[in-house]
Order: sequence, then C-alpha cells, then structure tokens
Amino acid sequence: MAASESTRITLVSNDGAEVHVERNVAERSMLIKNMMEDLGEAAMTQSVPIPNVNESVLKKVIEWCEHHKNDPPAAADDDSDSRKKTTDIEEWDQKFMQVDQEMLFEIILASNYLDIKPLLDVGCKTVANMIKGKSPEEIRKTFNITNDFTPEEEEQIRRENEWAEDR
Amino acid sequence: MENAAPCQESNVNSPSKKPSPSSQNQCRGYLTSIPPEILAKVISELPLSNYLDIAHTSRQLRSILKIHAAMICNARIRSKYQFAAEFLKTETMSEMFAFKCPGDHNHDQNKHFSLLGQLPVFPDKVHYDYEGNIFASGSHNLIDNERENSDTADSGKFEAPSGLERNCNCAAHSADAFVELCQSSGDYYQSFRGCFLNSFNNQHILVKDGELCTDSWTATFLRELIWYYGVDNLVITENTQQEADIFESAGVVGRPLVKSV
Repeated sequence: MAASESTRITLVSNDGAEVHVERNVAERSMLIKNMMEDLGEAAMTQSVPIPNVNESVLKKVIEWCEHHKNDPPAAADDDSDSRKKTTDIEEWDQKFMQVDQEMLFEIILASNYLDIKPLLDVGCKTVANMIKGKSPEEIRKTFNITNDFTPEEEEQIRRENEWAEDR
Repeated sequence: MENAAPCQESNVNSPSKKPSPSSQNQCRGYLTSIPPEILAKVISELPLSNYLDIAHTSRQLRSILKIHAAMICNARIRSKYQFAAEFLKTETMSEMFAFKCPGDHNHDQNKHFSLLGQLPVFPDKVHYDYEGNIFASGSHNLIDNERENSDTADSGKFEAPSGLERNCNCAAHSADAFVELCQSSGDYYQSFRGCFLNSFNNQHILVKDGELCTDSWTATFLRELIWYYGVDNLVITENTQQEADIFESAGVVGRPLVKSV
C-alpha cells in the first residue's frame, strides 16, 4: 500500500466527534481533498473540521467513501454517455441507501456540501425512484406532504389532468 | 425499486434514532426543504410523465417547479442530453442552455439551433415518417420560431424544443448517430430523416400578440410545455375539425388551452 493511502487523518463533525479515516478515502470528497492540499503538511497533524455534518451522517458518508475508494475518479461533469444516466443504482448503493428519510436527505445534503458527486447522484436517484410512477397522492404519502391546494387550484389541476391525459 | 422508507415507517437499517412523534413531525418537508438545485437534480432524473404528478402534489412543489423551470430543464439536459450539449457549442439563452449547430451551413439565418430553441426550417418543408416516407409537404414548418422571430427568446417566455433535442429523446437514437447527424454538413436531416418525427414535429408554434400559440397538440407536448419548459400560456389558434369537435363536446371551443399554471 502506498504511503499516502495508509495515512490517516482526523475529521471533526459539527457535534464534536472525531472520525479517523484514511486520507485517500476522505479525499473522495473534493472539499476535503482541496482542504488537504491547501493545508499541506499541517493537515496531517491537525484535525479537519466538517462543520455542516454530524457524526452519524459523517460516518455514513465515510462508509460510502470507503466502499468506493478504488473507484476511478470521475472527470468533472462526467456525463459523457447519457445512456448511463438512468435511475439504475448498483446493488451495494441500493442497500446503503436503505435508511430512513431523515438520513437519506442528510446524506444528500452532506454529499452536496462535501462535493462527492457520485454519492449525490446515488442519493438523488434514490429519491427519484421513490417518486417515479407515483400519483400525487402517493407522493404526498411517501414524503408526508400536505395537500394544500385551494378548491380553485384543485379545479385547475383537474383540467390539466384532462388536457394531459385524455389526449 | 424503492430504497429509503416512507416517513411513517421505521427502518432497521437506519443508524439514526427511532421514529418518534417529534421525528415524524420533522419528517415533513424533507423533499421540499432541500436546496432547489438538488431538487432540480432529483426531478431531472424522472421521466417527464411524472412532472405533472409532482406539480399536483402541493402548492410548494408546484411553485418550486415553476420558479425553477429553467434550472430543472438545464439539469435534465446535463443528465440526459449531455453528449449533445458537449458536442455542440453551448450557450445560455433566457437562462436556459442552448447550442449552436456547426453542421448547418446552408441556412445562416437558422444557424442557431437551441436545445430549447428554434428548429431548422426544412428547405422543402417536407416531413418524413419513421420509415423515411414523405407524409406531408408544403408550408407547414416544424416550429415557427426562427431567429428573426425571436421574441420568445427575448421575453424569456418560451423556446420550443429543437428537432435535434427531440432526436435525443427518441430511444432508438444513439449518441454516435446523433453526432453523425450533427457532423454532416448540409442535408443532415436526410441521413437521419426518419428520426425527426415524433409528437413535436407536428406542432406549429408561434407567438401572437404576446401569447404562445399552437394549432395542434398532444398529451406529451402539453406535459413538456407546461412543466419541462415552464410555459404559462398556450392558446389554441386553429383547431382541426376533429379537435374542434372534441373541444366542443367538452364545452371548450376556442378557449385558451393552458392558463396560469
């Protein structure tokens, strides 16, 4: 194992917990990678604060990074083959995302903050899969959303449905 | 496949705390409380057929879809049509991505091909079916939204999807074929003519008295106009007899089709 891969760094969550992780795992986050580069040698001797992520979410994100640490790095905006862009999610990631909604959305927000694009993609696809094919009522039930349309708006919706579906 | 559990259900795999009345309350609004750019990314992963369903879920989601229509549209282009946007020179028009097609040398005034903009005006104004047979000709342009009539772009109100984008929509099209289409210098549609046809190709869209008008439409067309492109108004100008009959039977003869979404 290369020296850089075995180097461990310490991340500190917003609730004060220290999470020790291999540097190459942590650097799946472009935010952390850039911070490490900016800090230079100092990064190895001092902890790295992650102020927007709590311990449980940070550990979950690190778990994902650990599993995907050997994935080839994605190029910037790597969407070169649109045919790959579906809501398909690989099996391990599907199981990884089998969490309650609070954690799911925390992971999405954390991956966005930490700039881990592949994890953000998986999170967004997971949510999209929860919406896909559902009726408005089913979407409300899934995400605990209140139907707050006025009767006039309901009528407008009814007309839109007629226009869109009866043709 | 659905992964994360609905709000009401506990999940043994979750490392977070057990559901409680307070956590159930907190559950409300996760979907609508995420930043718009992330919600746009989620929505861009969905089929268009889901857009109306999302918009009909709550006032907040409806409002988010409408306010961020351009962002959602752009996110969809990034995720679904990136190869097209990458191959063609991309620019921004009315906050939406557009591209310039380098392959069209014959019609300079129509050089600008927007992913969300105008269509090439076929010189002979001929339409082909999927087998490449001519099925219509004459003055029926695909979409009357040329550069010189770019008031739609100026107003930021609406830019119709281009034939090139619609090609991307066709499942039978590969990225390679699309590139081949765009690289051909002149009669590019000739080599790909069968693929130019889908529901959009029969639409005739123009801006009249400041309103977006069409003389024909389909369900897919409507869905995409309303939620994919954030269109507020669409007015039917000339109905076919069959459509007129349908409208008449529904008591909506000559009325505006879509208002104040």
